[in-house]
Amino acid sequence: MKKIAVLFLISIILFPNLALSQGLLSTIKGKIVDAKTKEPLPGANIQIIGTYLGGSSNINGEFLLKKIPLKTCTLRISMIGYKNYVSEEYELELGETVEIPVIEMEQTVIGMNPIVVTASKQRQDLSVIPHSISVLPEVELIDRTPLRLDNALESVAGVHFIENHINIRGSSGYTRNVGSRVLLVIDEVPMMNSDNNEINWNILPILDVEQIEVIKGAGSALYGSNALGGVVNVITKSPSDVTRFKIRTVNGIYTTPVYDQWEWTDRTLNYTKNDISFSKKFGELGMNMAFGYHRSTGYRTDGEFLRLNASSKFTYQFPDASKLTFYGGFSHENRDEFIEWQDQHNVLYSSPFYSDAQVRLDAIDTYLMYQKPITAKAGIKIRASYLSSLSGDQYERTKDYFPAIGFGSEIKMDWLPHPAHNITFGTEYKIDGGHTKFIGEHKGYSVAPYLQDQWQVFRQLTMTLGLRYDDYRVDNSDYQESHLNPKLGINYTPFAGTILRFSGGSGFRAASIFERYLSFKYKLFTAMPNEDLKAERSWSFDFGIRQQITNNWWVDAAVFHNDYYNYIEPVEEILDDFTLQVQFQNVVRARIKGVEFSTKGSWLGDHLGLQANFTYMDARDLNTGTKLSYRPEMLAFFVPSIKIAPFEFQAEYRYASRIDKVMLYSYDQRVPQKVWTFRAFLRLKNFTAIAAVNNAFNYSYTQLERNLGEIRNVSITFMYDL
Amino acid sequence: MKIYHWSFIILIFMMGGIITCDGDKGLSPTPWIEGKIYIESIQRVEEGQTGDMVVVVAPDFPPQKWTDIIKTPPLRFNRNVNKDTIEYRVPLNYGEYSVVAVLWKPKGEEWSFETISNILGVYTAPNLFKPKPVTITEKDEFISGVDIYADFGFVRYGAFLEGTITYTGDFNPETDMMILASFPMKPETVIDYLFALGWDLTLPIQESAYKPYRFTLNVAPAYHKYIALFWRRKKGGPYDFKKIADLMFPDDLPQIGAFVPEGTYLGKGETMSSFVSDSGDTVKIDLVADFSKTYD
Repeated sequence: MKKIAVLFLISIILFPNLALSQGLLSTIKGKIVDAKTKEPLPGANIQIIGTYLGGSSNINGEFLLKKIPLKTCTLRISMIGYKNYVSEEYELELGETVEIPVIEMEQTVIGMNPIVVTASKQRQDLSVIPHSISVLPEVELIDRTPLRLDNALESVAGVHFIENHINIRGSSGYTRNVGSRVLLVIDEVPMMNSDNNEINWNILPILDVEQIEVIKGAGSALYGSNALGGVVNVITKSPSDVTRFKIRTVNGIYTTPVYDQWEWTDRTLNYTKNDISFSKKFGELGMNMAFGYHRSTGYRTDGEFLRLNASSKFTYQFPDASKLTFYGGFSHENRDEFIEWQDQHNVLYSSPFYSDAQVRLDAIDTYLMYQKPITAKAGIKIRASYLSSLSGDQYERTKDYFPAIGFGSEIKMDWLPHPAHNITFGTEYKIDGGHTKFIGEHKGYSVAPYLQDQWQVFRQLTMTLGLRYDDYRVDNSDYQESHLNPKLGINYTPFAGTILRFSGGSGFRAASIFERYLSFKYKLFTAMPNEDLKAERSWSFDFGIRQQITNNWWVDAAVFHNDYYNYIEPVEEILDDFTLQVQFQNVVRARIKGVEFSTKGSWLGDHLGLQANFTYMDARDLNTGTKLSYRPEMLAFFVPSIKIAPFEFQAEYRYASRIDKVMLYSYDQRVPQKVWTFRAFLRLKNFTAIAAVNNAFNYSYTQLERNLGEIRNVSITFMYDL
Repeated sequence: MKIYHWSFIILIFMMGGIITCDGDKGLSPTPWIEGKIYIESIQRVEEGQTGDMVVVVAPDFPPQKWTDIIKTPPLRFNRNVNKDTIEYRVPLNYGEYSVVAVLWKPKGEEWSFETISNILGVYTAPNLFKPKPVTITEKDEFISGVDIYADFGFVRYGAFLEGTITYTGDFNPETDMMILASFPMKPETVIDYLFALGWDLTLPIQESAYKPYRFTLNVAPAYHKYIALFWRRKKGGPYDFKKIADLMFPDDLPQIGAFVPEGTYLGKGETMSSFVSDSGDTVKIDLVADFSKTYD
């Protein structure tokens, strides 16, 4: 059986499809320009509707789609900053080149229905997606002046961070660096650390990101483990037709703390973040390179760090329209670890009980991907990935730590057997490995076939049915788990501009190697292994409506209900020596339900803008009736802006209600998070300057016990885009 | 832009202002308690071994876990410290705190259960040997005079009790652990147990009735009045234990005109394995532990 599968794959890859090699195929030639300025638009994406064929425009806005085996075709053009364009139907003649009229794209500041890929692992208009999904395009990402990508994600509705732990609608709480319930993928390739299943935000290149998509709710029917609470897909840019050189430098200083008695140094505390990216195509070979340097004194003792990252992406376009992509990323981080403050009179002093903690983390992530259209209505994608992360105390890790290594592979096919059916199916195989003194040496294996059909029942109604089977084993031992994750999605457009959506599905998360095997004693904490830890399961339901009010204003509302089973939480036991023993156990039957509103709009010819999100959620342990720890009940994000070219001013307000329950130090004072950030932009043709005052009112809060949130700091950003 | 456009902008910023410009600065330096620590018997600590001394405050007594305890950083002191020159201040939130105490640990050791055994002193009501709570309210944010007598005589350091334990009765399978401890008085209240002069949690859980277990208990050089063996049930609380064997030590002869505490004095470096009873007999420190007492 395996031999047949391998032969099938080889035949697909090596031998051009007969239909594409006939020679009696059509070619479409066209040009895309800005409707207002008539300037050519390079980099626009062109897709022939109802097929997997397409391409992109060159520096002159021109495109050439070759080997089209169709008699008629309709094009969909998409580009960030422009409304999606659907062409008329063109007649094609076999063997001829058809030149279509110039396509004029209208600018929009608000991405009404951007193209997304995360929901179905293929490019789709947001208007047919049944999930709650938020899109953060490059422009918005850069406007948040993030030092890392996680800083920018805080603007997404329902997303909240406890330190560097991402929560989508309260999914994770604070997981103590083990077992994120949010899956991070880069270009659809899972990129979680293999041993602790956490996200390394440092490795993501800021300047090479095209957009970030955040799917809320269980995504395991397509993405498997970890996608219990949602999926964050970082889509990196494709190499540019023209030489593109981009540089960004952010320099900032921390002001003094709000209370004199909190001051701990006479030094001017500061940070600098420099990013460079380069992109160019040499014929059919394209390349992107990016480097980042981030150094900070921190705003408190034991806060100093150095972070470096680098990434590269190479693509090669073959004559038969297939494409090979290689992506590689590297990151290095060296920092002191601030575990908790000394006391509330010395919040910026590290507790002397934990003042010697240091962390170093080096990581590599790579993938190799091959995409090939087999026919106009079928395409295949094969990829392999390799991840390595090495963490630990910088002085001792050679003895105690070894790299955590993960391999992944996937073969996926897209098939349009009928105009109303869009089928995606494939198989994913993964090995996660971890090896340190604290966990021993272990490996987890999983194999998962999946199938999804997107069925356009009639013009306004689209249904999505999906199913994925995951088989998970640890160390080739008897411990084995199988999970079947179905999903159902419905998308209905009763009127133009109104989209109703519903999605329901199950998710799971296999316990990470750390959760299963971690065993150590550090100061007052002892961690105990639990080899029988079962996977967490969830059922997730989401109903939403997206309404376009005007051409530049939309609102979105959603109701969600997520039930979790076998929820893995650290369970404390107080030992006789008063120290705390922690073991990960399947203890909680939890439910998180709530509502979410978001809106985005611009008025008065784009002079006024507003983005606002609000999430209310009730996160409860159903066994005890108490709230789940580290989940704020309310989240809000609010950014009004005024644009008077070339200037723009933004006032950003971030709110998270007081966290009612924490694991440690429950007697400590806790307050809501209320953070204002003001930004002023100067935008010239290739140059942008941004002045920002972060936490402008120097509001003092904690998300994690005894860790003061970042104090007020002032930064200036210069960005040059050649 | 027209006037209503500007109104829109102003409205948005007013909304923002109303939301946040309520003068709320979030967390602030908390109230505190402060006081002096009166050091007793500092000479019991060896030169160069002063270790760390901290003040701890617990909202509940006994505290449920270590992280419920609020601690100061280590206080500066040495063997030449004047008796009343150590001052401390502990930032606290509003509320009632059941215990304020001074803990000590030897140099190079971690804060652990051993630390708890080294309670040097507790803030008490005058003439009452029990913890005195402190309450911080908005009207009473800063409380001074929370003075504590810290007696290094309670430090387990360099004296030993030797003896045997003989078990009788049927072994109780619910046994979690055995605790052997020596005290300056027969403990009557929960707080009394905290003043153990030494204890051992590492005793084997089941020892053959025919083979007595020999122990050497590291204790503080001090007057020892009472030694006892406690049994603890599985899943029991920190203070949920039963006494299954005990022995009283005789009092040293009082010196005329001097106050002498109860019990037998054990000096630094000394080992006591027997004592002379009031009747003149030499009594070995042999404890007979009866498991039948655990089935109550």
